[in-house]
Amino acid sequence: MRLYEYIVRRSVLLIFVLFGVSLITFYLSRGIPSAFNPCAPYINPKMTPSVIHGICAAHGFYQPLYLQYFYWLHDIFTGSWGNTGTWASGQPVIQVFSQRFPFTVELALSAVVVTVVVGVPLGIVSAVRNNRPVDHAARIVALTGISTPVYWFGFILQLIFFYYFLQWGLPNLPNQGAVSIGSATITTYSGMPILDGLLNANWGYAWDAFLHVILPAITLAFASLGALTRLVRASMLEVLRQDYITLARSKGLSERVVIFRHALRNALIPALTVAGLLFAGLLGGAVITETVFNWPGVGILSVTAVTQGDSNFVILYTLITALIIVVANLLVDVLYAVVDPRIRY
Amino acid sequence: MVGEQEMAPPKGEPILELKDVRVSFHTYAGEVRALNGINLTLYKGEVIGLVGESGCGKSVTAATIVGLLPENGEVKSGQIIFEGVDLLKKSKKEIRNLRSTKIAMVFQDPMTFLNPVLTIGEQLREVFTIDKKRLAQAALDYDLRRLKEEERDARDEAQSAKIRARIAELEGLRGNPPLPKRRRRRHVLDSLAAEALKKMRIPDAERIITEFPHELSGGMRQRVMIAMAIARDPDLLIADEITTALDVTIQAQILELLKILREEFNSTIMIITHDLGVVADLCDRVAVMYAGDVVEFSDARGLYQKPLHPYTQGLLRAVPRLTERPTMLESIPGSVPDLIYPPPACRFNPRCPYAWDLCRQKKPELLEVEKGHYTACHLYTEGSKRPSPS
Repeated sequence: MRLYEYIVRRSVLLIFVLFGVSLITFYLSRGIPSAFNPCAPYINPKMTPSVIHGICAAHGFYQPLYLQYFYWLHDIFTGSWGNTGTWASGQPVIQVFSQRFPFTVELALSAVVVTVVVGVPLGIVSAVRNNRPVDHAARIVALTGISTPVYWFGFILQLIFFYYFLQWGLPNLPNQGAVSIGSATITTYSGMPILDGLLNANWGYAWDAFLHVILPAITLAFASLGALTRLVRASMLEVLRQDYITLARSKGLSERVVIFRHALRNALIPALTVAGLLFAGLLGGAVITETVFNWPGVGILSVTAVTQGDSNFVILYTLITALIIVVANLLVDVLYAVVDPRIRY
Repeated sequence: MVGEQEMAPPKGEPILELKDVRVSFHTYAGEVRALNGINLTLYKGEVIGLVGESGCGKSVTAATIVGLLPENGEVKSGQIIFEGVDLLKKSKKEIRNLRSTKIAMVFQDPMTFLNPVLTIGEQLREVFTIDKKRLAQAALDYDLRRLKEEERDARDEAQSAKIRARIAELEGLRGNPPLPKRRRRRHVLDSLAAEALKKMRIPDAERIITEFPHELSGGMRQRVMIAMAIARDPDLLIADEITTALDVTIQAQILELLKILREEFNSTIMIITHDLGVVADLCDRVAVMYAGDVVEFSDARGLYQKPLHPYTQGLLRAVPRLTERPTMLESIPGSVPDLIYPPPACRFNPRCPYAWDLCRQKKPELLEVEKGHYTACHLYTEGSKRPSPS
């Protein structure tokens, strides 16, 4: 089978996955008794009772739950994702989501960059200098990363780089939001402040946005960085014990060539799985970081939506997250074939 | 101890001498004394066999020579003199340079010793990149060869004169040829790699270069591995169990190939094997190892006709013969000793049918018992003092 056939096949499967996810999320969010009337987002106080009755009937809210799913499905396919509840002032779900989601994406992407750029080299050094001081230091960093609570670490970073640096008169890093309050408004292309700043050729804005993302990105990346470091270290150690490494050494190749040419590619194959799913995981895991840094992402909103029982928002959020996870998985599988010639689809 | 002047050199100069080499591995269970002071001399151009059962120290000997002992291995004492210099006194870098030019090794399992994510070409080419001088020389030869071909196909006299001038110009560079760059370098390396494969009687070498190890058969992979070793034109080639992982017909092909190479390439070969047939087929001289000791060392013919050491005798008796009526397979009673707590003195004594008190008190030395035939056994020196079995 050719690679593109494989991608097409997987994309078809994707549709079924999304159906499954929507089914489960729908029944979980609508089926749980809550104070939130699912019809509430569709109506407003100025409507007469008969109009309200008509709207609720049109969306199927008087039907049994198993039928409501199909009404909902019909709404989705006609492009109506519904509104949020009063907690987000009743705006259309799509609008609220698409305003906030890019911020979360920016944060998660930055965290992925930090994780990979720091985690992979740390893992390699740790394996190559096995049981020496560098290795011990790297392992302490990794273990600390895995076992440190995100909110604590975030506050400590804020304390040092925002508060203490301010006290000492050093250039400090911002601790709140994604851009400085009172920055110029710029044309929105992607919704991600750094990227938009660059696209507008507004370097000051982009730099400001970059400074804002540093601390939250490190906070969010710290745990996954620890996990990735340990994984790369373990798989590198495993590869360095392989026979083909002995052969490479017996050819008289320098240690640098042995490690980077012969060992690294083999060692990164397992790390690829983790790195691929990292992004999806960080998107969902950003809630605490967003709260600590007052980041205008989608994380806080989704928690509010869940506690409010606002099924429209919860379903959209879950579906998008599922979509990203499935696509990331597909990407990892395709990358496998690129990195490892033994894998053919 | 055997003085080397006593050793009647079969031919040429000694190329490699191991003198009382002791190697230990540090494990959680204790210190494994893998090599117990072995002595070996290899002469230029000979094929020497190292035989013994698994765990007797054959592969450790090879790894020690090329400086590739695992991290927990340690050379306790001794000298490894290669072309007049003690390898154990050299730096890691010097040993590495030696591996890239003079000592090459071929390993047991072609399945696991080739890197699965690199093409055969990528793995072969890098052999040629280490020695810059040789690469530059090869690039020059490559250009000259192509120019000569061009000259042969030249349209007219003027063009061929032009090519001849270019050839003369390149010939002038012979003393100090420049290193090839980028695309030309790649072409040169590819042609060298293909040439190395062709020497191994690999058909369609240009295609094989672009393939990955998993796309080749076991025999083909083994040929590739031998090609990598031979390509360096080494003075010493160590072949560590190269036929063990192959099935019988492929084994025969690889052995045939080794025989041809032996004629063509005239370097010293050390064949490590537990297959006595391979030894009989290829080797000039044979060293028999047991539990980290060389117990017998002789020319191949002498060893088979008159094995001296009781272990060798048992080993040869254990070879099944097709010419005789099938009987029970012979074996040596007992098993390979634990090298953390090896038997005292002669390590073979618990299994030896002739052992007496002396064998448990004093380690026998490797001595020349007959001309060119050494053995480490008290039977041949103190045998007369052995109490007769009652």
